[in-house]
Amino acid sequence: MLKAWRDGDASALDSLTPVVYAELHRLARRYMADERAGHVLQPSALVNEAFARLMHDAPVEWESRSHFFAVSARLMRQILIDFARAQSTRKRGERVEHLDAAQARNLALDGGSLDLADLVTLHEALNRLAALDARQAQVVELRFFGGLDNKEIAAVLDVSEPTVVRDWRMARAWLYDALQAGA
Amino acid sequence: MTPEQHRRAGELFDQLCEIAEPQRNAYLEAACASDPEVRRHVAALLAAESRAPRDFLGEPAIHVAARQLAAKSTDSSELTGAIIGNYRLGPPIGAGGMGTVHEAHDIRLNRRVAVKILPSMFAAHPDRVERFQREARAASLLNHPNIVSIYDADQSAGQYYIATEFVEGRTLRQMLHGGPLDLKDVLEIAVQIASALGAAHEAGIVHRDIKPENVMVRPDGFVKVLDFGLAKLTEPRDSDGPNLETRPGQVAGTLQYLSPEQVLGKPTGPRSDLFSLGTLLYELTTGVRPFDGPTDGAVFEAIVNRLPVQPSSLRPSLQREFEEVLLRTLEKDPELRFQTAVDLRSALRRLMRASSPAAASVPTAKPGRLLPVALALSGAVVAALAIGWWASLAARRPLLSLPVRFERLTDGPGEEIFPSLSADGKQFLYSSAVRGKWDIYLQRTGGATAVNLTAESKDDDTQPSLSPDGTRIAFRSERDGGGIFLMEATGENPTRLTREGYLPAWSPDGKRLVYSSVNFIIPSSRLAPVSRLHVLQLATGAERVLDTADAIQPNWSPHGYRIAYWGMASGGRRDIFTVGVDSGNPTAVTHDAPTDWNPVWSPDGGALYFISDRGGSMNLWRVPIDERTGRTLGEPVPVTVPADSVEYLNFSQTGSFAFAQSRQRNNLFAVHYNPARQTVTGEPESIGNSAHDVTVFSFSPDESQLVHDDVGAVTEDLWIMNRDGTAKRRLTSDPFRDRSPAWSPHGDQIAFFSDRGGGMYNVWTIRPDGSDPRQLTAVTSPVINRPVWSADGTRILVTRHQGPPAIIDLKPQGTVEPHSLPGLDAYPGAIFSPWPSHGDLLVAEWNGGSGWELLFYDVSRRVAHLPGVKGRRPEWMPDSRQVVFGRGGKCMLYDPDSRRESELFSVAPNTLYSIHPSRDARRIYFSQTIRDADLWIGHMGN
Repeated sequence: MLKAWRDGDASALDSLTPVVYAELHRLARRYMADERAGHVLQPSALVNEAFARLMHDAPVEWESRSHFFAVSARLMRQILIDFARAQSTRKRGERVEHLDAAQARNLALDGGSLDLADLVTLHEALNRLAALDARQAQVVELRFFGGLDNKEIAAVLDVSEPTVVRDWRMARAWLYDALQAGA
Repeated sequence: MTPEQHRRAGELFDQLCEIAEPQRNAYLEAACASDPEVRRHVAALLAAESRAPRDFLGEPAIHVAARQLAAKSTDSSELTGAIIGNYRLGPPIGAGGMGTVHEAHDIRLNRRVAVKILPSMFAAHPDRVERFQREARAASLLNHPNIVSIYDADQSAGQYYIATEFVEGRTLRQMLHGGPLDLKDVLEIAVQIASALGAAHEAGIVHRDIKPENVMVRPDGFVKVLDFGLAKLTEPRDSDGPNLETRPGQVAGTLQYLSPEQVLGKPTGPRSDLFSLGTLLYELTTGVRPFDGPTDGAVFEAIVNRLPVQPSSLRPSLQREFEEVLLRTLEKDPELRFQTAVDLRSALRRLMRASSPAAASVPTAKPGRLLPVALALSGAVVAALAIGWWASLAARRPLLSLPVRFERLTDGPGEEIFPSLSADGKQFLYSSAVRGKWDIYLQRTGGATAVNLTAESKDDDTQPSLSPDGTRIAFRSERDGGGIFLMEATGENPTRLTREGYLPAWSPDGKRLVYSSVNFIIPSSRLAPVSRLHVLQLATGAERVLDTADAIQPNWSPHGYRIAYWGMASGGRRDIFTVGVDSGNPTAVTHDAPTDWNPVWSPDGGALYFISDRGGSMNLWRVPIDERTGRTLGEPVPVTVPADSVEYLNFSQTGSFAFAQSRQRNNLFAVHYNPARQTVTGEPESIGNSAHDVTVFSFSPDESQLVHDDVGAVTEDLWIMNRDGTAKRRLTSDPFRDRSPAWSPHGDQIAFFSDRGGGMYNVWTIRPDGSDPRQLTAVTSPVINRPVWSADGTRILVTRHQGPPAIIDLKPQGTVEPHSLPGLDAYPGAIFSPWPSHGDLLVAEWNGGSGWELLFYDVSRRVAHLPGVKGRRPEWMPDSRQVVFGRGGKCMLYDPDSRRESELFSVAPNTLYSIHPSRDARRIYFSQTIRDADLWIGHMGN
């Protein structure tokens, strides 16, 4: 079991998914009720939560803090992309009659907010980026999916903070370009 | 593009970002003369960098997903400036999660109005369109100062719209953001809503959707109720046929305000509005909803089954008479409520008259907030008009659109599970262990008496499956080494069919059985994907194994073509499959991360129902399917039933379906104890109500009060109450998880752990009056929990999931890094119990991989010791000589000196969670985990 968690494999995914979904719905409910954007649990805290439930409070030792964050971010990415895939197929279908899909995406990007289909596109682009520069992709994964700040990312990746800032700037531009091109 | 080119582009990009834009081009040309591809790449990056909105990737992905989920039905058409009917649309003023209400100008009458645009999908239902127009016109005849006037409801250029009076002000939802309202304001608002309801009911119009979003308060204090008579429009007609679908994604909106009869699909009327008004008033008064939960299912369950927390325990200044009125509106039985809105209004007005001097002097959190703030905001138009109604059309109301009636079948102690309905749905079988072993019972739907069919057997008998003709029962039995057995429908002549197998299911012709080779309890408990399906020919005894991967809990399709089952697919996922009985060819129905199980065919074979946690908790889902090929014909949609957690689904041939509604709660009890004789006397008494999930609790030093957590609640807050359960109040109120409170020995602080302050669990303290919250630790390691005070109150011990337990020396201010306790390195994750009143020998529970056991630690000598006693949640008796602890459902006593242990009492089959003896050792307080599962039936159609 511990091994599974370390590897972030599917059984970890199994136990984390309900926790993430619950959080997702809790947040969505807040948005719908037009409440303040609302506090969101850090993905790493969600992983903790799932873990605590799974192990019934039993102790665990992570290889390292960095490892824990890295696994959290990866699991979050996997779950959110699964979610986005499941939701956005239907969503895109509905949309066709109103708006050309490409046009819709450009609108969304110009407004600065992504939709679920963009999340999937982003995920795929991120895989391509990883082939070019693994660390840049990991910075995005830790920040966008894992919710870490630059300082924490620097600690996880064992690089300096300015390096993280540079990686992020480049990756962000690269991804924006990739999303626009994909539209 | 190669990684090398990417790296070079990155270097250039970094450099160019640092220089002014005009110079960039020349620099770039010079640097990339030899590699145009890198140049293009850098140019694209620079362009993207300058074009990307500031907030691109600016918020975590989970926020993106959540907002999309919320906005799923938003129609993105931009209508500002358009002319629809006689109205020129202004900007959207109610851009909530689900759509837009526009401020508009009535060209003909030259007045300001609000226009709501219906989603285009609405036009696809001609009968709904017609009803919309008819009902809206009926509602438009309502003329009452507290009802928003409907001017017009029509269509123009294919857009259906409704034009209403424009109201400036704030919705009650917006006002609630500031917390509960002044009691005087609550009464004033309540009387006006009751007046509105009275007038509407008299005209034969029921609102059906009273909620904070549908009531606005103008800056002058005038109340306006929106959307009379419109909620009903979203109910499909009988002609729509059984339609169990609710909103995809199951985002809970406003279920919290529905009445029990609405939830259960029973006829609704004016008294349903009064219930909804009651829930609204309760929230205005206390700041919390009387019936709430993390998922739709949990909310439904609360509405149907649970009593609300006494409002006065949440708002101690609430007068008893006011509380009585509130609770009367919230009666589950409509007969026990106020019978008319006029009655309710009279009662409210009496309260106003009787208590207005008192109410005026009642201290509130933010006195006089209501009207002044509303006035201050009057410049800003905040009219989020009637989003709720519009949204409900867009997404279809859940239960209101359900022509399904729910009825409780069983209400026994413990669990009733594995329902099996007869073909006509008039009787059912189930399993229960109420007698100490699992038995199979037969009961009439609507009846109260269950007949034990396996009373003769002394072994477990479970998983009954009634044959399609209703004459025989296949079941699993542990008798004679176990296997699948057959008996007659009234329990006679049990005979063995197989020597193995679980979860038998019949073929529609009753000639064959399919069963799985492996059993399971809950889907997550399965470890190895090794189960297979066996098909048994009853007449010949011939048996064959279907060619599938892991397959369990089979269900035969109504025309016999395929068998549905679930299995652990690659990577440990739990997905649904079907396989042809003769043709083989397993076909996946679901293939994603959520746990999907218990597939059951609809009686016509056109859909598979299954249980899944894809909506957050275990509830019912439906997917259309081709019974011959197993090909799915659409996406799974939720079919929300009133249950926190759904298990064990079964259909009759008439389309009614049975399921188990399971619950798990941790509730607080106390039992009298005689320390001299070391025995308990009398029965345990429940303390407080069962609305909270109490895991850890802690007493004030004088033992007059206790503080407890509420793990698993929507917002996990800490609560304080008197030791007899009265005067309950919220100590913390925030969206974070506050857990494991511990009252300090001096009584002035309560320590707890919480993920407030940045996602990680840390130790905090707060005063018992809720003031002065302070963060003690600032660790970022995964988990820290369960703070324990030293006897002198100068130190706090904490458990860490990473590394040994640690101790915090309290300093006057700032946060402190806990340091590890020496001598405990070998016991990471040990959870310590409260400090003994005498001495320094601490007791803890520890799990080193072979289960929880007691651990003793001598603080002064720094040595730990495992006596080899299995158990959890130990705590010293007041004499500090014996330890009381839990082992399953048993409360045990252990004496470390004599090494003797004895049993004090047992709450089996429940399990003990935490245990605390009073200081005089006369009472033992404990929280116990109670598991209960009841059977319910849903009848489709009316």
